[in-house]
Amino acid sequence: MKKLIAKRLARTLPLIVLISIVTFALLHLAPGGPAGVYSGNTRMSESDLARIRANLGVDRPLAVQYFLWFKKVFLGLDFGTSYVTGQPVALMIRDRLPATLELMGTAFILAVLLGLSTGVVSALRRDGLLDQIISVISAGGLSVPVFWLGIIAIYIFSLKLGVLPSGGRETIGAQAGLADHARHLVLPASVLSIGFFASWSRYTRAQLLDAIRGDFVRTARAKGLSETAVIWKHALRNAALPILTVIVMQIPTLFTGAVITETVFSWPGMGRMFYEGLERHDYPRVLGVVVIFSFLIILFNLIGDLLYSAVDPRISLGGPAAVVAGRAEEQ
Amino acid sequence: MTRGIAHGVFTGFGAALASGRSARRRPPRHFFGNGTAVYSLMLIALILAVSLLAPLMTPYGRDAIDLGAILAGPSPAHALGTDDLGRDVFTRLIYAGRFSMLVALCSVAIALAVGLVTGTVAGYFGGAVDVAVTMTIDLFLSVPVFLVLLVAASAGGGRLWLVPLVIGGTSWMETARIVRSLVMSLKEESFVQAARAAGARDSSLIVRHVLPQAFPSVIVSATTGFAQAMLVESALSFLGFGVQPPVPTWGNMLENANVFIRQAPLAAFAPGFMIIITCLSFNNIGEGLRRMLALDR
Repeated sequence: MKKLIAKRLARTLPLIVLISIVTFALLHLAPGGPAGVYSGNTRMSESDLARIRANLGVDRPLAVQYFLWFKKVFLGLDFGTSYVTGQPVALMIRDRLPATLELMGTAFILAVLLGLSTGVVSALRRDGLLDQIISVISAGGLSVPVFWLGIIAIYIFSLKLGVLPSGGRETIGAQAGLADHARHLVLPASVLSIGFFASWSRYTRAQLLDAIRGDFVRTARAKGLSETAVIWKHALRNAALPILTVIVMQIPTLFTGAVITETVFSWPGMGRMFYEGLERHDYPRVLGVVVIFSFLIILFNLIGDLLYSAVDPRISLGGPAAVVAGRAEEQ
Repeated sequence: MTRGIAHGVFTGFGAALASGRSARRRPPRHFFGNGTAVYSLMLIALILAVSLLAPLMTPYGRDAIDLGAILAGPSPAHALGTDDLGRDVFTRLIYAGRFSMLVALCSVAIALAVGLVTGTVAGYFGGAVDVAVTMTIDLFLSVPVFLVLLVAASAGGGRLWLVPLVIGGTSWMETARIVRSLVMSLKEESFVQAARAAGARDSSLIVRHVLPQAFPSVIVSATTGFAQAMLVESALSFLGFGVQPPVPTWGNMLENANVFIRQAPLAAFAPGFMIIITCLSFNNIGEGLRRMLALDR
């Protein structure tokens, strides 16, 4: 098992390298660059600009720059120094990672709990009033832009009703208690979870309905099992696997949502750090976040695959082929 | 995977049966029997018509600035008020429909083209090509695509043509996957085998026999893909890396909305509302098509 996990992680390392190369190349394609901020300044001479570029190390050939960055990151876990704040990027990430995980984790749990439960209720009360209400809400959830929902939530709950804070992770200056913390978490986590809740609710409903129509459910009923046992032991058990697949597959999207949600709610996490870094041409910061996010996504995918084989004994962790093929068929 | 039997007018369903649920399929329903889908289609037609006829709908120019009416509330002159530069929100809203839909349309077209080609090639030829395509799909699905998309969009400096290119280039995977599995099962079908035995070449087999069968699934995935593309564009533009003003889209109209929402809430509500009803309509149409084509389970 340990060997297997190590093998999987080793295989994903090239993936992280590849995405870092693509990001690196794209960043350097951008006009202006990190010294571009100063180029409009008439009091700066060309030699001043050259000195700034030399200081930042962006005057060397791209391949050399990438190689130096690569060596530091993958041998020493040193992500360089931010062009803007002068802080080590690794330190900035360490400071912000907990906030991001807290937001994403809360949203994830919310979405799983609400999505699966409403999905099951919808399927069992098919075409009933409750099903229709849930369907309308989830259809809306799939069609609403996350950032807009955030803006509207702030407008209603913070500006108009004044019941929840509009942004940040805790009240500045006040004693940061748990309650204060939780109050700050409510809006961003709810907003971030909406899309996932909608998608998982619909998917659960469809999968469960499909399972209920299956032959094994007819057999179970014919055996004289109670309806509860039929649903919980047979139908849900069979629907669980595809549902789990979809949940795992959407984990990268959770990171996407975090960038937008953190920006709207001024949440001091890595998503906002990424966005600000991109706006200010702070390459080390952008690259650092991309690498860490990629690593986390791959890690969560691995956990998903392990869960997968726990739920379905037919799936072995033999290799990526088995998992990939399994996923492709589920789709 | 069981293979399906082609039947009815839409012989293409056979393809959709790749998932092996032919026996439990609901009978095909008529698209126009689905009220929600029909209303959605009418709504889209209405939005499209108003956007295209924008100059007839409003007395103001798209970018006309009225410094005397900055962040004005709704009035007979400005039905939805004005934005922070004194531009008429209603005018920009209907012009934005053009660009939001155009960008989404182009994004979907690019995603479809890439997905169709890679999916067909992988499914039809199998072997090393298939492995390469499957790995690429997996790669795209396991990296934070949106972050790279943001980086790419910022590198492009917000050129209009770049936005659909970037969105399409990162959303072709679903189509590719659907087409791949369809083609894989289709190429074993007897009518394809018969055509092959009759001496048809690979290219004509694919174009004349395999791809038409994949059409129903692809069109459904394109419809919901349109809504997705519109949401991504709006997020990009909101963050300032998408379509740049003065060209209006529903997304970039919201760029400063959170700053001015106190003074001009309508300017913040309206574009979001348009995005929701448009995406909702496209999702409904996709659902209606899926039912009509009996692709649902």
